[in-house]
Amino acid sequence: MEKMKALCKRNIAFPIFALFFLVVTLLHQLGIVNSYFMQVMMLACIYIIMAESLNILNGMTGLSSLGQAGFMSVGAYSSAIFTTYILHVSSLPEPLQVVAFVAATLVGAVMAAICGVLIGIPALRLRGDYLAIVTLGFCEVIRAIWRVVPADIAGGAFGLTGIPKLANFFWAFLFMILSLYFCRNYMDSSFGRACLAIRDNEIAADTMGIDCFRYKTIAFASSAFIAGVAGSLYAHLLSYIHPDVFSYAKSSDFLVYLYAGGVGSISGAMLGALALTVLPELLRFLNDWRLVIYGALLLCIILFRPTGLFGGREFAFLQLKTGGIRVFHVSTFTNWVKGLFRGEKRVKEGAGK
Amino acid sequence: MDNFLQLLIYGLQLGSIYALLAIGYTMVFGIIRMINMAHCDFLMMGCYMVYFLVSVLFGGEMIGPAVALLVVMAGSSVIGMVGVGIERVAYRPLRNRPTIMCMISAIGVSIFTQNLFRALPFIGPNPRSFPKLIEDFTINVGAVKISFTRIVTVTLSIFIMLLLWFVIQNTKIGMHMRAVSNDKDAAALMGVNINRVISITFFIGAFLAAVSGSFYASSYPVMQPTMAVTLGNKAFIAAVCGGIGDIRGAVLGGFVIGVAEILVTSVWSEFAYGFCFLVLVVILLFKPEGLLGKPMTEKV
Amino acid sequence: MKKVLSLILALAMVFALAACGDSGKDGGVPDTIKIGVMGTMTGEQALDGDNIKGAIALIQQELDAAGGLKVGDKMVKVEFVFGDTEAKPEQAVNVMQKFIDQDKVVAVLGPNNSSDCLSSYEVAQSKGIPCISNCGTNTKVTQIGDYCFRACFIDPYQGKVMAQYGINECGAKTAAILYNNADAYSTGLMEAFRDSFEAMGGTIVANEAFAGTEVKDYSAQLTAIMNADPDVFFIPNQNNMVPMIVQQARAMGIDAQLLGCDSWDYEFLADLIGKELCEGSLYTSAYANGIETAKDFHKNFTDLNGFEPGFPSAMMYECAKIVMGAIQECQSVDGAAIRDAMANISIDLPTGHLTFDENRNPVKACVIIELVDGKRVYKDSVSAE
Repeated sequence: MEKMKALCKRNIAFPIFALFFLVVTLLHQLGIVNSYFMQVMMLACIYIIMAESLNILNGMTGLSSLGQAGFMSVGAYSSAIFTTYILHVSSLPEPLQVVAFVAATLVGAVMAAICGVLIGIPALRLRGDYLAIVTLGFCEVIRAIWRVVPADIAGGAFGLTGIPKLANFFWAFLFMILSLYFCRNYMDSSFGRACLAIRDNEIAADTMGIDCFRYKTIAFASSAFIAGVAGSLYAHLLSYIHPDVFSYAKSSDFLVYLYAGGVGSISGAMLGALALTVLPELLRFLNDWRLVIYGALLLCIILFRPTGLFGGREFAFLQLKTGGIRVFHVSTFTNWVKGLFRGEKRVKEGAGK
Repeated sequence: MDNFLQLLIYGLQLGSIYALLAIGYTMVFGIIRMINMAHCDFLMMGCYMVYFLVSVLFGGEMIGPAVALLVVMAGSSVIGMVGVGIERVAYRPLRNRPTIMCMISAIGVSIFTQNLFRALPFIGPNPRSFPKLIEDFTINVGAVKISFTRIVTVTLSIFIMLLLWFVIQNTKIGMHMRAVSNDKDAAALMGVNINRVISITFFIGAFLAAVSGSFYASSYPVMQPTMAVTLGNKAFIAAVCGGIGDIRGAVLGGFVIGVAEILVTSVWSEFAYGFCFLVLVVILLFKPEGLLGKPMTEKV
Repeated sequence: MKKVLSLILALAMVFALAACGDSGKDGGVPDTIKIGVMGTMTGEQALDGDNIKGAIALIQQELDAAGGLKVGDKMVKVEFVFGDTEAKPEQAVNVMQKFIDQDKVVAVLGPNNSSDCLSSYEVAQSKGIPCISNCGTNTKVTQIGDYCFRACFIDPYQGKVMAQYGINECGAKTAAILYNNADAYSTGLMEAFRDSFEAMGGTIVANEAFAGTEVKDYSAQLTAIMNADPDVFFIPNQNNMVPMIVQQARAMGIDAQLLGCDSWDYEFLADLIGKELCEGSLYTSAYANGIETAKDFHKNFTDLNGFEPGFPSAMMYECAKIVMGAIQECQSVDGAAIRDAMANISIDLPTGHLTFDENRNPVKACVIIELVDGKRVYKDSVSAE
C-alpha cells in the first residue's frame, strides 16, 4: 500500500493526463465543446510535438535548425503513402486500421530519423547560423523533391489526397504525451546531459571526452524522429497534404512557438505551441487585421519576455533532474489561491524547490 | 553556343538582383551576426514607397532617369530610417541575448509588416504594377539579347559593392564597423559608439534593400506585400555561399546562384527551385565558410 | 504572481475557445440562417477574396432590399459569416470546423482554391453540410462526396475547350505551355490541354515548368519556348504570375498567340501586363460582361463595389443564389434536404441556366474572352465535344 502510494505520488502526472483527456472527451460527447475546439486542440497537440522536436536541437543541443518542416514532411508523406498506397487501409476492417495507423506513424518517424541522420552527418560540419541555413536549404530541397515525385506515388503538385482520416484526439493527445516524456527522459539521460554540455560549451565538452559528433547526430535523429510522428498525425488528421504546406514558413512557425514559449524548456515549448496555435484562432473575429495583431502580440512576447512565456521553467510533474532553470510546482498555484482567499500576500515557501 | 551565352546573360541579370539584396544581408550579419529575416520586407516597403512617390508626384508617368534616381534615393532613405526605427524597437532590446532571439523577433516583424501592408486599405493585398522608371529596351549583341535595365542593375550592384568596400576600408565609420564586427565589447571600450554604428549599418542595409527593390520591381513589375519572401531567402543564401560578412562574397554568391539557377532551369525546369538550395548545401559542405569567407576560429 | 500569470493566461485562452456559445436547432426554418463564406481573404491569392466579398456584398444588398429571403411564406434573415483560409489547407479545415460547430451555418460557399476545398470538404461531408465552391476547378473536389458542389467548370473541361479553340479557331498546329509544377490548378490544366491538343493532331513543342509562386524569372524556360517557335502559347497560371510571364515572353520576342485560363479573368490584368503586350490574348472563363443575361448583375456589382466582377465574383454570386434557391425550394435548413434540392436545382443565373450533372458539376458552356485594348471582350461561347 505504501509502495502503491509512493508510485502514485511519483507518477502523479499520469492520472492527471488521463483525467484531462476523459474530461475533454466527455465534454465533446456532451456537446459542450464543439469539434472546432477539438480540431484546434489536435493541431495544438501536433504543434506541441513539433516544438518539442525542435527543442531537442535548438534548446538542448544548441544546434539551430530552420528546416524542421522538412522532417515533418518526410514523416507525413512516408506514413501517408504507407497507409494509402501500400496497405490500402480504407479497405481494412476497423481494428486493423488502428494498427496500420500506429505502424505508419512508426514508419514515418523512422524514415524521418533516417533522413535526419543523412542530413545531420554532413551538416554537422557547420556551426551556428551556417548550420541553420543548411537545414533551411535541405528543407527546401526535400520540398522540391516531393514536387517532382510522380503524381501516382506522392501526388506531386496535386498534393496527396484521400489519406484515411485515422488520427483523432486520442492519438494526437497520446503521441503528444509520449513525445513529452521522450523529451523528458532524453534530457535526463546521459545523452541529454551530453547535449546540454555541448550546448553550453562545445570545446569544453569535447575536452571532457564527450563525442560531440555522435551526440549531435543522435540529437538530429531523435528530433527528426519526433517530427516524423507529428507529420504522420498531421497527414492522417487533415487527410490532405501538399508540398507547399511544409515550406520554410512552417519551419519558422515552429521556431517562433519554441522561442515564445521558452527555449530549452520542455514545458515552455509545450506552452508556446499551445498558446500560439490557439491565439490566431481566438483572433479570427478581427478578419483582415488578425495576423497583424498576431504579429504585434508575438513581438510583445519576444521583447518583454525574451526568455519566453514560461521563462525556462519546467512543470513539476515532469520531475526533471537536469536542465530547467526553476521548477514550477503545483503548490505554488495552490498557495497563491490560498493566499488570495486569506487576503494575504503569496506564501513564499511554495515558490519552488 | 548562342543559346548558352544568352542563358548566361540571363543568369547574370538574375544574379545581379540577388547580389544587390545580398549586400544588405551581409552588412547586417557582418556587424551584429544576426539573420535579418525582415530584410525582404524592406525591399517590399521600398517598392511601395517609390510607387506612391511616383504616383503622387508624377501621376504614374514615366520620368527621366535623373528624376527617377532622385525619387528612388528619396524613397529608399525613408525606408532606411524605417530600418533604423525597427532596429531600435525590435532588435536593440535583445542585443545581449543569443542572436537567434533577434532572428525570431525579425520573423515577428516580418509577419507584422506583411500583414499590415495587406490590411491597410490604400495598399491592400492586390498586385499592383510598378511604374516604369526608365525606358527599357533590348540591345542585340550578335544573337544575344541584353535588356538595358539589367545592364544598369549589374553595373549598379558592382558600383555599390565598390563604394561600400571603399567606405568600409577607408573611412572612419567603416573602421568602426569593422571594429564592432570583430569584437563588440572591445570596440566599445575603445570608444566606438556601438549604437550609432549599428544604426548606420541598419540604415545602409534597409536603404540598399529598398534600392534593390526598385530595381527588382523594374525587372519584375508586379508588387504584392508578400513579393519578396523567397527572394529574400535566396539572396541570403547567395550571401552565405559567397562567405557571409564579406561584401565581395555577397556579389559573387549572387551571381553564382543566379547563373546556376538559370542553367539548371533550362535543363530540368521542374527541379530548378530546389537546385538553388542544393548549390548552397554543396558549397557549404566543401567550404564551410563560403567561397570568399575566411575560416572561422572559435574563441575559447 | 508573475509566475502563475503565464500559465493562467494560457489556460484562459484554451477555455475561452471552449466557452463559445451554442444554440439548438428546432424544426422548420428559423428566423435567421447563417451561411459561411470562405476564401483566400489574405495571402498570395487575396485578390480572389476581394471579389468574393464584393459578390456577397451585392447579395446582401439584394436581400436587404427584399427584406430577407422568402422561404415559403416567411421572410428569413440571411447572415453571411466570413472565414479566411490564407490559401492554407489546414486553415481551411479550421474555418470549416468553426463554421459548422460555432457559427452553425446551414451551408458553406467557397473556398475559391482547389487545395483548400480538398482539405476542408472532407469535414463538411462528414458533418452533412452542403458546400459549393466558386472556383475549385480541380476534378477531385466534388468527388469527395455528395455534399460537395461547384459552380464553375472543371479543369479538364477548360483545358479541352482551350485546346479545341486553339486548333479550330486559331489554326494552331504547335503549342507551348509554361506551367507551375507546385500548383495543382496549373498542372491540371496543363495536362488537360496537352492531352486534348495532341489528341486533335497538334504538337506540343515545348512544355516547360517552374516551381512555385516564389519564382519570378522565367527566362530559361522562355528561351526554350522561343526556340521552339510555337503557334500558340498556353499560360495556365494564377493571376499574380501571369503578368510577369507575358511581359518577359514579349520582351524576349515570343509573338505566339497567347491562351489563358479562368484565373486571367481579372479587371486590371491587362493593365498589369501592359495593354499592347496582351492584345488579342484569349482565355476561358465562365463569366463575361457581354453575356446578355448578366447585364444587370454586371451593372449592380460595379455600382456597389467600384470594380468590375470577374470569374470568382460571378461564381460566388451564383453559389449564393444556388444555395438560397435550394433553401427556398426545400423550405428547410436540414443539410440533406438542401443537398437534395441543390442536386435537382434548375435555376436562371447571370451566366445562364444551371443544372447539376450526377457528379455535382454544373452543365454549362465555357466563355472565350479576348483582351482588346486592355478590355475584356466577350468573343464566343464554346462547349467541348
